[in-house]
Amino acid sequence: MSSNSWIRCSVTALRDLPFPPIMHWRRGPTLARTALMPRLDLRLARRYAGAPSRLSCLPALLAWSLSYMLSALMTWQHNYAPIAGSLGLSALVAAIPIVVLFIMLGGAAKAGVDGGGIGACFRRCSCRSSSYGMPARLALISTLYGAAYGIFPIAWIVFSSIMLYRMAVDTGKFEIIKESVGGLTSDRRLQAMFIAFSFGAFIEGAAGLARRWPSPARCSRASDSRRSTPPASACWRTPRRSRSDRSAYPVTTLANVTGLPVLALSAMVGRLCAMISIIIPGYLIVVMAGWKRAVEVLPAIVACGVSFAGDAVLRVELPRARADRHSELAHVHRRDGVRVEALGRRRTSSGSKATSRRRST
Amino acid sequence: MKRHSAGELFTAWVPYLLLVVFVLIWGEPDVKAAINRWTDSLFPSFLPQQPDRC
Repeated sequence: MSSNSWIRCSVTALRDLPFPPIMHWRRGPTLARTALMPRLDLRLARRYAGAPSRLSCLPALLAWSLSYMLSALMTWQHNYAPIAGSLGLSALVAAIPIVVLFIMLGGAAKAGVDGGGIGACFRRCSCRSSSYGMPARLALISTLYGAAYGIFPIAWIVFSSIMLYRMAVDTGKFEIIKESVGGLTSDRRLQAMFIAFSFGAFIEGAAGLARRWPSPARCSRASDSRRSTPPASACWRTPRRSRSDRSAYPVTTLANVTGLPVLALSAMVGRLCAMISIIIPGYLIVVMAGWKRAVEVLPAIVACGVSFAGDAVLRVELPRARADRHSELAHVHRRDGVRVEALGRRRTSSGSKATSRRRST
Repeated sequence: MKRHSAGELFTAWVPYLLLVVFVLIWGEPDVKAAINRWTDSLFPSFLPQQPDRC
């Protein structure tokens, strides 16, 4: 059998087979895997076309090696709707790791690291490979990247925050902090707003930029001066507050994923949060104490909401206005520079004309 | 509600005050760049680095 027929035979055989190497070849195999491919091709070629010698298979093997090497350079294209072309079904499949995480954390009552984290990572990796057709190497790398991205900027800060909190508790200083905060007012509604919008904001800002709320919620719960406060009532204060303000990591992640400018995204998030922030203090007190009791502290609610929303608006609009002013000034400078330059040219040309006229006279 | 002296209150709040001070110092672009340069030098050379990280 000639070499050309060998190539045709092996190509046809491998193309018709639902064999993993072909699938990987279509999706772009890794360079490491390509080193193993010729041996596999030889085995398949022998199976489909008798048992030729290794020497006669050499051209086919070289051709296949070259094709695998070239295919290794192919870029894997992310298909956003791999499940029957349906975006909704694909989104449901993509949500499986998050559901696994919630089940492991809540339903199975597993610890965060050994249960939810590993389970979700495994499911995420396998989901990407199986459903989205992502090469295993890329799925593994992206999973590791996601884990590292979660551990270092977020878990590290949460760990530090919890350590700070535990240090204050174990030394007995947290009781003093608690009493100093509770001593400002004996009204539980005002205490709630004070803790949620001042101390809670500070804690959550130091505890992972509000991405993960258990640690600030725990600290805020502990900072509540009355032991009779239900844990849930204290715990949801900080998430409400956190959703509306500090969203740096989600914004930067969104900017990284979408390629959109982070400043524009931050500005839009700030505007949206400002609108929500006005009603959050009132909502907090209504849920906590009811409409009638909330109306009694309406001035405090308004002051809290307006100051918080105003702060968010100013943070967004002032840099934007400054940037607009800078661009406007730059435009004026350019325009005036052009005018001055034109005027200078005119003066120069009129001066040279006058000089030439003087010279001619 | 037990009353505490100013010294006790200050001592209790010191860890959080220190946290604020360190966070503010770390937020300074020059300090942040210097820390990034130092930590980048600790990593092996084959790892990718971000020169524009600040």
